[in-house]
Amino acid sequence: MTELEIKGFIKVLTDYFLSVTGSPANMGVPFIKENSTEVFDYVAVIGISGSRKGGVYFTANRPLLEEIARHILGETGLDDATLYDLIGEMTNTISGNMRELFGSTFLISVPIILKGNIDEVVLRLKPPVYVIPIEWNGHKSHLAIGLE
Amino acid sequence: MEKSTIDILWIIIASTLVFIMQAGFAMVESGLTRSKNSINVAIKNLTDLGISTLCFWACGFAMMFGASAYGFIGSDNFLFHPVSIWGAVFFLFQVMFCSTSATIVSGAVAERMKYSSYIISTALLSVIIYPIFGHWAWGGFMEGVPSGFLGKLGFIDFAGSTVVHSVGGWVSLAVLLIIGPRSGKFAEDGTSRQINGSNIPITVLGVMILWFGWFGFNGGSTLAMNETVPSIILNTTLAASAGMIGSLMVGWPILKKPDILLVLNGSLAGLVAITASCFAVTEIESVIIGFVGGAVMLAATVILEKLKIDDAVGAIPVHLVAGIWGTIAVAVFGDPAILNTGLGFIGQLKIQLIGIASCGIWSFGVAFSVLFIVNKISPLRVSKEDEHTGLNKTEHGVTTEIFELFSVLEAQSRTGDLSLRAPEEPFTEIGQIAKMYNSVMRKLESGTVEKGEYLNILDNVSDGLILIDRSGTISQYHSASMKNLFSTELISGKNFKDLLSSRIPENVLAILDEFLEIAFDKKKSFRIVEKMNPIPEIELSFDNLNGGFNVKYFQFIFKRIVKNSEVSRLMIVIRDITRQRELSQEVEENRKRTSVEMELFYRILHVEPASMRDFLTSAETDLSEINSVMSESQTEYYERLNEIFRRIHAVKGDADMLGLDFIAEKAQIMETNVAEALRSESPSNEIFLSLALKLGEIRELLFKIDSLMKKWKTMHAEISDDNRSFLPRALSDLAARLCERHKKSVKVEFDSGNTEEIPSAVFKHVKDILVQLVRNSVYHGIENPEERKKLNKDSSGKIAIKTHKENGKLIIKYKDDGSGLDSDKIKQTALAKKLITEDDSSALTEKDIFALVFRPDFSTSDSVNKTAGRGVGMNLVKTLITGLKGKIALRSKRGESLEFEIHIPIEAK
Repeated sequence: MTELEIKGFIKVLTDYFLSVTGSPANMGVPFIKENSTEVFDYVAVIGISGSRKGGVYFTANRPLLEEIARHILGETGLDDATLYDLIGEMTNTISGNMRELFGSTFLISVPIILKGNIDEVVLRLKPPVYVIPIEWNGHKSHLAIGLE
Repeated sequence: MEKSTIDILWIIIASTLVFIMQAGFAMVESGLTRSKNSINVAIKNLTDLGISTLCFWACGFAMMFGASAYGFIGSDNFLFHPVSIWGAVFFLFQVMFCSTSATIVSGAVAERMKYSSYIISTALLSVIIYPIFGHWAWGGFMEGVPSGFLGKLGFIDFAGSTVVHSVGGWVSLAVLLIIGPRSGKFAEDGTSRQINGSNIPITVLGVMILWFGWFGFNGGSTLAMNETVPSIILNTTLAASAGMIGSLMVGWPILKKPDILLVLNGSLAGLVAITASCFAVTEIESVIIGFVGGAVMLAATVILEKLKIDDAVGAIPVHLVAGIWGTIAVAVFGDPAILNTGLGFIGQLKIQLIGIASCGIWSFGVAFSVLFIVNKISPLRVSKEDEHTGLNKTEHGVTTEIFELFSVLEAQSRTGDLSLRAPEEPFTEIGQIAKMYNSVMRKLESGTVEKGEYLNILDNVSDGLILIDRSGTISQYHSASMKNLFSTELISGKNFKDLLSSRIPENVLAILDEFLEIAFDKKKSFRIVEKMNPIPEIELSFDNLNGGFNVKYFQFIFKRIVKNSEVSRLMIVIRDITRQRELSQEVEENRKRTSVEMELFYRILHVEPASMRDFLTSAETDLSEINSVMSESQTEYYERLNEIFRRIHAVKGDADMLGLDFIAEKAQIMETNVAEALRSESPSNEIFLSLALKLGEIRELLFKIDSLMKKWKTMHAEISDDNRSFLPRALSDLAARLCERHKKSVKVEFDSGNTEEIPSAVFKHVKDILVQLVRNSVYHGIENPEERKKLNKDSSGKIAIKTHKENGKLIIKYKDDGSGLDSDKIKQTALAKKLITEDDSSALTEKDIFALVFRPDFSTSDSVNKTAGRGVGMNLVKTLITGLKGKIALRSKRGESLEFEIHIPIEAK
């Protein structure tokens, strides 16, 4: 995995935040995922195949997603189902943008949304997995990339 | 009653004419039914003639014309034996009437009633129903004096509109209500379906025969050849014609077509209607009676359909309803003088209606009651299967050519067996059709068998086989395995590229697009085109809709299908080579892994296993610490970088000590990146991205070494994890490598003799401290051999290390015989690095100056290299000792030596 590729994934995510909410998202200090590294409330997993194999996941807490929902839908107090739909839409857009960026050589899967503690097996990321903290409007989230 | 010869002759002729009507009925009924039942209907007509004749002879005639018992039933002449010529002639004429009445039923109930049931109903009609009612109306006629109760009342039914036709009609109705309609006649929504007859021309001929026979039926009913006979026959034929016209005039506008039944049954209805009054009406009245007869027949037909009563040939509308009308017409149109009943119109009408009602109650009542019971005992109706097969076959075991042909067609449609052939009867139309059909079947069979074989191959071949056209569309037929290969049911009609899109990268898909275009270009040699195949073997990623992919490897082989010198199709053979590919990948990965391991093995071969184990442990600790520092968001930017710097420097030092250049080099790159970031005045987290990647690389490398070590350890169980005796030699080796690098000569004397005394809890730190001190001594302190000679020193420098435990402390004494510290140079460097000011420098004691060497970033080296120059080593020493809550003292003799004394509380860590 190259630095350029990781930067590509980060750009897709930060661009999404900027275009949808108008507020920029900032990249934190990346680190290597340890067994003890925890995920937040919701995890969106996107598989990658083709010239690189592995996956990417984006994990965030409910308040971040609720605030994005407010930007997109202009609504508050969303129920779980609506929030799932929103994350689905969000990750679809992100994976679609990843496809645009890497589509010529990568295959980007349809994302799945998971909640709570995720079994490592489910993530299917190839170690070492690089975790890039993304901070937006004071909310923390992680973008993790594990490609062989 | 005496009769003249001419009368006798006429009645005999009339009897034969009525007999001929049996043939007419047979033709009408068999022609109006389907060919699978036509023989059954015809044979029933002949059967009822025989049955009715015998029954009428045995008792029917006696009950009808015998001496009347109370006007209800005849009582003599059973097993009829004529006592006069007239008696014989009269019987002959009457038995034909009885048979006529009986045969009406066969048409109505056609196509569903058992042959045996029909015999029962015929016998019932001939023995009881017909003779008894006949007695009521016609009893005493042989003698010319009415003896039946209806006859006595003045009931007039000249030739049997009611006595013959209505009786047959009532019995038909009773049977139909019991056995129900033919299968498929009425849809679930109640609509009627027309069941076409098998031979309408023969039906037409049958109607004409009936018409002709009716001349005897009505004309003979005079029982004499007198002057009324011609008029009766004239009225009969006029009514038949009027019936046909009446039916047509009313029915045509309603049905929007001149339905054949309008013509056929209209004529018969006219004939039935005129039968009762033909001797007592005028020609015009005959026309009216016939006309109305045709119309009521039509109305009755419609009503029966509405009531879902399935009369196969229209016997009830013709014989029952037109018969009722004809009987009423006697009162309406009959000349009272001729009728000679002495009744007025109302009186006559009343008695006519009584006769009709009596007939209905008796005939329908008896027939329904008896046959209902019989039906309970033994069903009158054939089974559904028999009805479907046809009564010709099931009742009589006979078939027709058309039936045989249908049977073959049905068997073929049911079984799909195309080898079946229809019987080819020569010189018949059906035979010719069968011959042509067989010829078509032979060709079809050969084509279908061929196709079937291909389909068989497609069903069983494990490879994917498809044909695509120029637009890439997959044709209808493809191997069944395609569905498994691509995990979809939709193959036919789909575009080939759509099967691959989202499963192979877009750049490959674009090349495939160009390739397919060229493949269809007949000008391009396919031998060359084949070589351009962009997907001879390709990896396909199938989205498992669970956030991942299932990867398969397919082989694609393209072949041109040329038709009329044009490339009409491309055949594509798709083979799943996943298993082979995985095996070969496994072999390749093993080979690569072995190669990498061997390379690693050569690189680490010189390192003592225990040293390596210790290195791996300490390096992993440092790298984990670096990762931990990176993941802690609270740590300040430069502080974070400094910590990373110190840690990676330690790793580099350790790697260097063991001669693990390939790790040291990576650590060096990280160190350089961190140094640059520290110098940079614009902090950016992006720098950490490359650090994280490099960190990952080093960890992967260490992981591989660790795996190798574990394998190694398995092979050499004697390798101990806790063997710390390597340290003296490792330090010697480190010094030797540094000397080689910097053209110096140094000996390390480790005087503790037993490094096992160094507690394991502090061993890594002690080792790191000593490594840094040795590096410092070799690079900074100890002069090169030439200089040392000039200074009268041994050409080879000496580092002496002594360790011992004392009062709960580990005491390390370290001394080199190098040049010691150069306080001026230290001061100058500190000034240059702005660590001190000019004012400070004058106030500093020697001790203060020496303390500067422990400051971060402090180095007196002119350049940065693998050994020194970054000002990290001594700072690391200080940091480690501080971390262990220890102390370090420094004593330098300029030009002679540099000494460190380190005290580390053993319980401290």
